[in-house]
Amino acid sequence: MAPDAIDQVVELFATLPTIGRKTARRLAFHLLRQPPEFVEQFAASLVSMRTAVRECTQCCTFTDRDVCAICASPKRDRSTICVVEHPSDVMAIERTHEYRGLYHVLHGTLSPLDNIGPDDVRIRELLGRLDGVNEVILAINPNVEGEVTTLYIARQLQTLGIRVTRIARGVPVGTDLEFADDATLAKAIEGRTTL
Amino acid sequence: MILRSITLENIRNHRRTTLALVPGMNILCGPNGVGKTSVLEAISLCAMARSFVPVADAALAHTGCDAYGASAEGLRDLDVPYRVAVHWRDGQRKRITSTSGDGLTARDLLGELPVVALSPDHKSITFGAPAERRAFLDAVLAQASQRYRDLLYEHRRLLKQRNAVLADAPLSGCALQALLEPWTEAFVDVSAQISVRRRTAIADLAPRVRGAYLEVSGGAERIDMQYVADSVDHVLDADVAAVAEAYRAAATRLAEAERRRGQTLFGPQKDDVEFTIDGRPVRESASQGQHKSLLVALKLAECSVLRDATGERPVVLLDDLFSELDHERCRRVMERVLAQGMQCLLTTTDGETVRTLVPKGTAVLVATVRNGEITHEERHLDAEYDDGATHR
Repeated sequence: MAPDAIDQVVELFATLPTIGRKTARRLAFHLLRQPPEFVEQFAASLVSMRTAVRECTQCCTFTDRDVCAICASPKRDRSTICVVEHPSDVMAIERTHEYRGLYHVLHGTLSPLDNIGPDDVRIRELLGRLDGVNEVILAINPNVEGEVTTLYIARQLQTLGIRVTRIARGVPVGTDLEFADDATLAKAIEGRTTL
Repeated sequence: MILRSITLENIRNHRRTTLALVPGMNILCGPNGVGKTSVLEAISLCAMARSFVPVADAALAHTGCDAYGASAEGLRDLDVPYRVAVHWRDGQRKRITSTSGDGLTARDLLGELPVVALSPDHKSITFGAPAERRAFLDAVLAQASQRYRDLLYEHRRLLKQRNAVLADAPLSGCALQALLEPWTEAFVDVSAQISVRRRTAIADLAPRVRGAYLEVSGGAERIDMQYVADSVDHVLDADVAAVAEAYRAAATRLAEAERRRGQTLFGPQKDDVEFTIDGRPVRESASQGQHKSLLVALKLAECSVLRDATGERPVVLLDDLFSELDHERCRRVMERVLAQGMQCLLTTTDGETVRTLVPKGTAVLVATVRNGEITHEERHLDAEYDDGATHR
């Protein structure tokens, strides 16, 4: 094998998130030490994942069917939709086993600087599936763009008479107050609830 | 914080310099251009990941080097050891590690090692454009509060995003309104918090500046500071909700003009601080000497604000103070800094004279700098001459 081919693989690995050049090189050499069948299977799985996986026609999360397992399940509460930024956020909330409703994945947040407007995230798709929905929970990441996207969607929904809520922000469970950072604590105080 | 040592690697004309510091007055002496100020800049890098004067990282690195590093060791005021190191390499993010952790950002670092620097470049605070005064105020508040650092970051980001919406000309009025509204709301919220915090900070600073001015100048003039807030100046009480309401009104009033100009036309990025001396604006009527005394008073007030806010005595960096102030005023500045137990580093071309002005009973280091190296160090437990001299 010509070293060019190794270099090419290293370059490609290094384009992946959290992978630097050193790790990319380790991965490439690791694959070289594996049996050829393994590498073929590995490459084939990548290709088939890319071709098979698409967005769910309802909630826009990644799925290999037309409608994802959650949207297809008769056990889910269809009157509640939780709006998140990424498919990985769906998995995070599912891990809690506390939420029984449906999801909607935006695949991003508004960011005029990057030319991302409401039509570039799945807001229109959300507005198109509100029949029979009583509550929309906004669980978008609380950074600058996420906050504005939350505000934008809330405005769009308010006119439709649907209950719009957002997840609470506050002190992580199991930590002491004194170790929480100022911003989190400030938001926690701002969002305090009556007992 | 009392620093025990500072290390420079490839900063300006220093190759590798480590200097052990004394808790009191550290005097760096030598002719111009030998690398005295670089030691102060290294401390600034350790405190806020940048120099106290605007300079590109590539310019801070030794000629022909594409990397530099600064590290410091010290003792917090609660007797806990503190270590920090900042490394820069061309094309990469700064690598910052401290006792608090690895992979830190400048935002994490600020306030850990509070620093107050006074350099001839800072004259622009009282002389220059409003941006200089905002930068001063923001720097004080950012070192004093993590929440304020976050607010500044959010404000900058929101302003850019909102301007990007406004600059997108083809949008019709109604579509623009729907898209702009959430950005306006978030911008107004953050702006109001910044404005109120700045106004409160000015009220806190003003009496401290007034006192420090009298002490330094020996005169009897009265200094006042007034926060001049764009669009919300008529809101007199420091109430975030009331200020936000005033910004919202400004957004409505200026909507048409903002659309025409394609940019945000209100907010704390347009505010100013007005100094008056005996009721007259400093920028118009103060003498050179009054400007200088006011600048020093501002920095001394910054020291006491930071000390109260962080519970940590700031390290004071006085760059070329003696070229700016007469000996008597310099003596008063040093006296005040040292009397409050703050560690001080000072650069001068005339080490002998400075040493005679240091109050008795102060720990003193006199380090001679030549071509990016410390060539001679003398340590004195008080300001007596002729003991503890060490030669290299």
